[in-house]
Amino acid sequence: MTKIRVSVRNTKSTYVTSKGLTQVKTEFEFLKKDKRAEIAERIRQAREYGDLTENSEYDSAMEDQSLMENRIAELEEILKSAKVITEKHTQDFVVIGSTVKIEMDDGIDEFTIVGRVEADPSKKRISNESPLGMSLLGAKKGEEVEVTTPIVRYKCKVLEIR
Amino acid sequence: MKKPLILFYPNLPLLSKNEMQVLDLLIEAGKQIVPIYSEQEKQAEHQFSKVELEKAAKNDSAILDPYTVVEKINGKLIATPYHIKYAKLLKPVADTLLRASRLTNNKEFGKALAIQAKALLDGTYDQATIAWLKTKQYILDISISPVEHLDDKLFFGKASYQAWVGILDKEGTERFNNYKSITLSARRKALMPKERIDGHNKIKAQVIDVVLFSGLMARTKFVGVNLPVDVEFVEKYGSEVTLFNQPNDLRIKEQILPTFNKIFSKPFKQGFTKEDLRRGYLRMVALHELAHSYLYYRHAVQNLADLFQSIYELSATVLGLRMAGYLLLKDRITNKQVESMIVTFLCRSFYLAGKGKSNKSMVNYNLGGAIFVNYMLECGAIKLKEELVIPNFMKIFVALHDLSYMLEKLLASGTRKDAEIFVRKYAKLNLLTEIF
Repeated sequence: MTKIRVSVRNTKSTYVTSKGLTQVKTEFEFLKKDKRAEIAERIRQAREYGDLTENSEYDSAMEDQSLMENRIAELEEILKSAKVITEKHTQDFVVIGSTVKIEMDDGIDEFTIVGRVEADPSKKRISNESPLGMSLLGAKKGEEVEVTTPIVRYKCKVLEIR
Repeated sequence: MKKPLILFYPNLPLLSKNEMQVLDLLIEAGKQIVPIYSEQEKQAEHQFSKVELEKAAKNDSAILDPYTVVEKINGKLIATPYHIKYAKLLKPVADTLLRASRLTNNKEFGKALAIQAKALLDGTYDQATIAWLKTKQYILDISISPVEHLDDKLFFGKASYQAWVGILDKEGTERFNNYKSITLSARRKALMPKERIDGHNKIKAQVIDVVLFSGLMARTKFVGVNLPVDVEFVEKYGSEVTLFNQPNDLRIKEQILPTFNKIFSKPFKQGFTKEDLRRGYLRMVALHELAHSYLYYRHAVQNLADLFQSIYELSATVLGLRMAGYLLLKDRITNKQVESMIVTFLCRSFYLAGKGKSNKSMVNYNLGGAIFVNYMLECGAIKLKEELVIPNFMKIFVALHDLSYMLEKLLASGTRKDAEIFVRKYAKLNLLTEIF
């Protein structure tokens, strides 16, 4: 029987592996200490060229500063809501960290479900917040679930859970 | 008739002096294809029938070879290889390529240029294709050869001379390869596994900022190509998919935007920016070209004959759009991005089946456009109301699945007769001409 799962993003926790958490912390520290100082120095130097209205060095440094501050804010949020996934997990049903083999839309695919921070579909790591990830969480081997978005609806059968 | 040459002026990355000099030579070689293709256009008016041609081919197989010119001399059909027929015009092209080959600091690229120059002069085209497939991606890119089989409806198998010259778009290429990894990593089932050749393991993918299109490319203004087309060749050596940025912008300006403004209602149009459409169309073409690698059926060209190209191209687009659904479920693209892809393909289909009918190089695509629109109408996935098109994206996705199955079945095991019945049923243009 097809199980219908409602796709609602969980905004409370951000799931990460311990390795992923270390990477987030390292990037956060680098941006706050080194990168902030580097961009501040670029802005100071660009100001010395004078006339800020036609100063491309200044504009570029200000843009980089804005992007960096956004990233720092994003990483801060991730660290606040981070929930570390245990390395050992059940194979009875799909959880974050499971590697699953599925059959869907005339194809067979295999990937690991991870938190959004570590998701990279091109490397077979699918976010738990993606439509596919959300629908598969909790599914058992042999179970068929329905994955839906406002325009796409597929049936997806779980062939293996590791 | 307009000269078959288009020059684009993209913002170039910083090139070394050597790269700039080599680029100039490549452009020169590309321009030298123009008189050869113009000759081919003149020769497309035949003095004999298809029946005569097929009869003569029984005694001389060279008549149906993609790289020969067939002429009636003293009442007899004679086939002359391209490299002999066009020898005078090909010599300057080969000389320019050899100059570029000697000048470039990239030895591998230089070697491929030299092999390409030789191929133009002695007809060893396969050797050149293999050399290019083995060459690592480089900042400069050129394709200069008779390759596609589009212009000549009588032969439906004769290659046309074409060239493109461009610069590698590194960021675009990275994004394209990311799509490739996601879409081609899932193993798609084949309708007839023994008939299908698995081509998806050896695909090179690149995005190019185009400087020049000449010959057939200047007529078709393709936004993407997947070459070579010979399935057995692909099985052995792989293929290369190339997307073209500036021709995409041109397609949006000339075909997609005018059609978009004409066929959709004002509230619907407000949901899409020009940038949505530009990116949507390029994504659609990217997935179309990647989808080809799941559709290499061993005997499809022979079985479907002159209808092969229409079925094959439409099948790739439809499968590509289904693959977009897969990217959506993995959070790699958004609903809006998938909708933009569908909307731009609808625009392209209406354009091809309507205004685009006069372009004789695009006959196969016109047919595909008509089939797509009529099938979507039949399924109620799009509706026509007061000369406007109303799409239902959910229904379109369901219809894509069924249409994809029918088209792939034709490629896997259909006959020319099956394809003809299918085309007769869906390629009616009457509904579309009401709009245009």
